[in-house]
Amino acid sequence: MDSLSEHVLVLEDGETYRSIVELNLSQTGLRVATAATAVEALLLARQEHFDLVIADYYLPDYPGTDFVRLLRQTDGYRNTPVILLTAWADELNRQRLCEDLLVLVLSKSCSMKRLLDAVFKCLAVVRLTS
Amino acid sequence: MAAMSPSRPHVLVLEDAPTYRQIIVSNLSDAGFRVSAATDVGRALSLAEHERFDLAIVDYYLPDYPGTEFIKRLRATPRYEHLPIIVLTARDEELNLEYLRDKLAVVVLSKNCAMRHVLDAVSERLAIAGCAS
Repeated sequence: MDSLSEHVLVLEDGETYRSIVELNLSQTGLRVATAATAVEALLLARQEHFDLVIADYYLPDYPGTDFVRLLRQTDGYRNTPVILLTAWADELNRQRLCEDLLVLVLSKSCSMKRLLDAVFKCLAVVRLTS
Repeated sequence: MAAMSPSRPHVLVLEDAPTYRQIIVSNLSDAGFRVSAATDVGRALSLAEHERFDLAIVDYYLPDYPGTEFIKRLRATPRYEHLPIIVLTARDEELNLEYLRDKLAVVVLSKNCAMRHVLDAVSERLAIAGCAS
């Protein structure tokens, strides 16, 4: 898998934060698609293949965790790395979410560098296991 | 149902799901509590400002903010600094319950638990706060 071709889906309802994440990911050479709702993201996931998904926990239509459960039932996404972003990371049971849904919970207050580090670590694992 | 009395403890219910909200309000009213309900954080804060509550029951996952944001704003108000608060969630396994209990001094209950259990928790928290039901 060529790192330049790796495709990331960003699900975030906040327009400003979504644009920042999209811009930062694009600048690293990743292909990026965005969605503002879980329904939109699930449709995209069925139409295209994504190597990694970044999803907000707090969404207008579904909790991010419900989105992940639906994503896991979608063909090709059983083991796709998902980074769950939230402004309330301390309030979530990170270990349980990691064990149950294979998601990495990151705080929205973390630096973009840390988010990109997490993205590339997850993609490295995908490359090793695919 | 108990007769209306201004001395009855006043409970604020913040819950966006209409069916569950109705069930809680109905059960609390039947148990003799005065109950006011809100569907979002803004309305709940407005109610809290204009009325006096003895306890709040707050859903975690709300349409505008997590229920914890409401709790933080409420706790910032001197009169509600020590208000007994019960957080209800259908996703208790997703939440860091220890953090919520320690940082926000709340009781966290699963929405799957029996309504009797919620009523017991309400009475218990009110008793601890020195507010007889």
